[in-house]
Amino acid sequence: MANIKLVDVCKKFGAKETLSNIALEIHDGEMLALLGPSGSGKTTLLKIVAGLEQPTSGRVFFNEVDYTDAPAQKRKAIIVFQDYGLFPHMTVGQNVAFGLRARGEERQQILTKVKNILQLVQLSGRESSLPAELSGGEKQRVALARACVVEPGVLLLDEPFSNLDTSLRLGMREFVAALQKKLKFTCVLVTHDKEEAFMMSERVAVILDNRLEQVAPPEIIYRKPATKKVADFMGDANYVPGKVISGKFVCELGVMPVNEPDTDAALGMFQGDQISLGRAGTGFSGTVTARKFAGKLTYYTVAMGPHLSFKVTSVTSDFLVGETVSVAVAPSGVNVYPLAEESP
Amino acid sequence: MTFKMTKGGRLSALIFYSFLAASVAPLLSLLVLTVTAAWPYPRLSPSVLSWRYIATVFAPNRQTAEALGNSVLIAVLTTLLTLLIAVPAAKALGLYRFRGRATVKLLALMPLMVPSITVTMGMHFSMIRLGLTGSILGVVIIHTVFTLPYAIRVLTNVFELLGERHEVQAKMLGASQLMVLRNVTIPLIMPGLLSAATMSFIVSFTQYITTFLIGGGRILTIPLLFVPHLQSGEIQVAAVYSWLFIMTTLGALAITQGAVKKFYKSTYLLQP
Amino acid sequence: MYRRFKPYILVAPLLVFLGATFYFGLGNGLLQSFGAVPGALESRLTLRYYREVLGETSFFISLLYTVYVALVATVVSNLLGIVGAFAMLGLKRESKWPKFFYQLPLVVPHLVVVILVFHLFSQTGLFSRLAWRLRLVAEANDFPLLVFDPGAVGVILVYLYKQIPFVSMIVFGTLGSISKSFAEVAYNLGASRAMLISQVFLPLLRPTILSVFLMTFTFSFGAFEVPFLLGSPAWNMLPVKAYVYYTNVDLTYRAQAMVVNVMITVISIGLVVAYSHAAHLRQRMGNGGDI
Repeated sequence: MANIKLVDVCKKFGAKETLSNIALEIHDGEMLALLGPSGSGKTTLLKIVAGLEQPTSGRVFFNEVDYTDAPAQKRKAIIVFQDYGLFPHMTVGQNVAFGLRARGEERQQILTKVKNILQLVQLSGRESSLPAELSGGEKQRVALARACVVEPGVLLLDEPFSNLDTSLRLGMREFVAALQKKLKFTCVLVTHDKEEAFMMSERVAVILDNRLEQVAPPEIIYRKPATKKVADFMGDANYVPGKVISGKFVCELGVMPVNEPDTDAALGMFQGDQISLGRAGTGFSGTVTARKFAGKLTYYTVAMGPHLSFKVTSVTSDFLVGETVSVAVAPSGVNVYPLAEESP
Repeated sequence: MTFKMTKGGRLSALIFYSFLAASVAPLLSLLVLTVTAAWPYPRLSPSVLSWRYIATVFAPNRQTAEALGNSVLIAVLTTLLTLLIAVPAAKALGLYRFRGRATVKLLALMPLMVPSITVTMGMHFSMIRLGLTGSILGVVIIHTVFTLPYAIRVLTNVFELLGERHEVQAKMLGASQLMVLRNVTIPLIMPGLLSAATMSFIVSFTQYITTFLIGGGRILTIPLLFVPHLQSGEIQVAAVYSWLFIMTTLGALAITQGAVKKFYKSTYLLQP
Repeated sequence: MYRRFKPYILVAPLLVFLGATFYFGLGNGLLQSFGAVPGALESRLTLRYYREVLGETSFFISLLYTVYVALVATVVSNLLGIVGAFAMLGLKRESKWPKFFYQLPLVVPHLVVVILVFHLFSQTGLFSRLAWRLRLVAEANDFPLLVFDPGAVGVILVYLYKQIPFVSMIVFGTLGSISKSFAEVAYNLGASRAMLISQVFLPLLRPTILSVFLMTFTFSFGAFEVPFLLGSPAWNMLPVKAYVYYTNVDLTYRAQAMVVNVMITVISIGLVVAYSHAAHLRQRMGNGGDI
C-alpha cells in the first residue's frame, strides 16, 4: 500500500510539452482513474510514477519519501502495459516468476507464490503454457499476476481493457476491482473511456491538453465539471450565456442559485439530461428540431428562439420533430463558467 | 533508440567509440598512404609526400576512367536486372501461400551459401561456349546471380509486412494494373527497393574473382585494376584506387538516398 | 485461371534465371568433379578424382585449417558484434553520424581491407613501428608475423573488420524493434541490466544470432580472395586449393578443383540444413524449462 504524491511534475520531450504542472495526490489503497483523450500525456504520467521516465521538473513522493531520482527497479509501483508485454520466449510460470527472481527469492518460495497467484487469477495449472497459446483475457491475467506477485504498493494499468472484446471487458473490470480489494494495493488506471473510469474508480483525474483539470469522485466530475474543457470532454454540454446576480444565474432558461461571484459575462452549462421536456404549456417553451431514437435514450435538439438551441438526452421518446415542448431545467443542474474561457 | 535506464551509458559509449575508431582510423591512414612517396621504417609518419600516385591513377592514358565506367555500368545494369527479377518473385513469396513456396525461397537463397568461385568455375566453360565471356553482359549475368539472394530476402520481407490490402483497395477503386503499380506498389516498397538496390550495387561493384574469370581479362573494373598493384607491392597506387572505390560507393549511396527523398517529397500525398 | 497460376508466373523469371546460371553452373561443376572436363582421361563419369583428392592428407589438413580460420573469425566477430550492438543500444544520444561511420566497413570491399591489414600489421606496418617506438621490438623482423603466416592472423583480421559491424547491424536491427517495451517491463519488475540482457534479450535474439553466425561462417569458409592474398604460401585454405588446381596448366586438374569446390559446397549446405533442422525442432518442442 502506498500513498503517492506528485508535485509540480512537468515533462517535455524536446520542445514538446507533454505534461504541465501536474499536482496530484493518490491515497493509500485508492483506485484512481486517469481519464483523458489519446495523446494527453496520461501514459507518460504513469511511466513517471513507475520510474521509467524522469520528469523534466517536479518531484514524485511515495509515502512522503522523495523517489524522483530512484530507478524503476527500486520502486514498488508496477506497471502493466496495454499490450501486456509478456516475454514471448518464457512460459506463463517463468513470466510470473520473473520479478521474484529479480529480487533473488528462493526457488521453493517462488514456485509457491507463482502457484498461489495463478490460482487467484484463475489460471491454475497453466504454468507451462506459452504466451502465444493464450487468449487476450488470459494474457492480461498473466500480466496482472506477474505484477501482483511481487506485492506492489501501487499497480499502474495503462489502458488495460482496450484490447479486449466488449463482452470480456466488464468481467475483467470486476476482476481487477476484486483483485485490488483482496491484495490491497493502490491502483491507478489510465483510460480514455469515461464509462470505464466512472465505473471502476473512487476518484477520477481528468487530464486534458497536458494539464490536470480536475480530480474528484466520478459523480462530481460528471455533474460538476470544474472547467468548460472538462465539460466539453464529458460531452453532452449545452451552453447558455447569462449573468450572475447576487448568487443567482440568470439566463433564458430561468433563474437558478449558484455559488459563484457576480459577473456580467457568464456561461451556463446544462447537461443534456438535466433538461427535461414536457407537453407544451408550462414554463419556457421550445420547438423540437431534431430527434434521434437510440433505444434506451432519445436525443432531441430543441430550439428556443433564433439564437438558442440545445441537445437534450431523454428517456422518453414521445416528442416529434416540429412539436412545441415545455423546457425545464433542474435548479441544481447548472454549472457556471466565466465567458472569457472560450477556448480557441 | 534513446533509451537509457541505468548508468551503463559510459561503458556503452566507450565500447562503441573504440569500435568506431578501429573502423575509421585504418581508412584514414590509407588516405595518408595515397600521398606517400616514402615512408621508411620505423617512422610513424611519411617522410616524403607526393601527389604522383594520385596523378598516375588519374592520368589520361591510364585505364582508370575505363575501369570506373565499366564498374559503374556493370553495377547499374546488375541492379536493374536484379530488381526486375526479384520484385515479382518477392511479391509472390511474400504475399501468396503457394505450394513449393519454401522450396523456392531456399533455391533463391542458395547462392549465398555456396562460395562464388565454385559456381563461377562451374559456369565458366559454358559461358565460353555461349560467347558470353569477355562481355559486359556475361559479367552482369554472373553478378546478378550473387545479388539476387540479398534482393529477394529484403523484398520478400517488405511484401510480407505490407500485405496486399493497399493494392486490392486501389483496384476496387478502379485503378488499372499499371496505375496500381506506379502509385501504390512502388511507393510502398520503396525503402525495401532502395535497400535491395544498394546491396546489389555494392555487391556488384566489389566483385573480383567473378569479373576476373568471366570477364576473361577483357573487362576491366576497379577491383581488377588494383589487385595487381597490391600483389606487386605498389601499395600507394592500390590505396588511391581503394579510396576512389570507397568514394564512388558512398557517392552512389548518397545519390540513391537523395533520389528517394526527392521522390517522397514530390509524392508527399502518398507518404504513409 | 490466371489467379491460380499467378505466383508461379511471378517466380518464373527467378527460377529460369537461376536455373540457367547458378544451378547449371553447380551441375556443371558437379559433372566436372566426376571427370567431365575437356581433355578428360576417361569418357565416362568417374569417382577417380574424388579418390585422388580425398585420398590425400593435404586435403583434410586444408579442410581443418579452413574450419579453424572460419571458426575463429566467426566466433570472435559474432561475440564482438553482439557486444557492439548492445553498446549501440546503450548510447545516450540519438547519434546519426557515429552510426553511419560505424557501418562504413560494410561498404569497404574485402580487397581494400586486405590493404589495410597489410599496412597496419605487416612486419613493416604501422603497429610494428609503434612497437619499435615503445621499444618492444629491436627491428622489423622481430615483430611477429601476422600476415602470410600459418596462423592466418591477417586473414582473420580482415574478416573481423568486415564482420563485426555486419553482425552488429543485424543484431541491432532486431534488438531495436523489441528492446524498449520489454526493457521497461523487466526494469519495472526489478531486473538488473545483466538480468535483462541474459534472460530477455539474448534468448529473444537467439534465432537472429544463429542465422548471422551461419552466414558469416559460410562466407569465411568459402571465400577465396582474402586467403589468396594474405594467406600463408605453405598452408592453403580450401578455396585457394581449388583455385590452384583450377589454374593448373594440366586441364585434368580442373576435375580435382571441382571436387574441392563440391566438398566446400556440401559442407556449407550441410551446415544450413543442420541449422534449419535445429530451428524446427526447437519450435516444436517449445521452450519447456522450469522457473
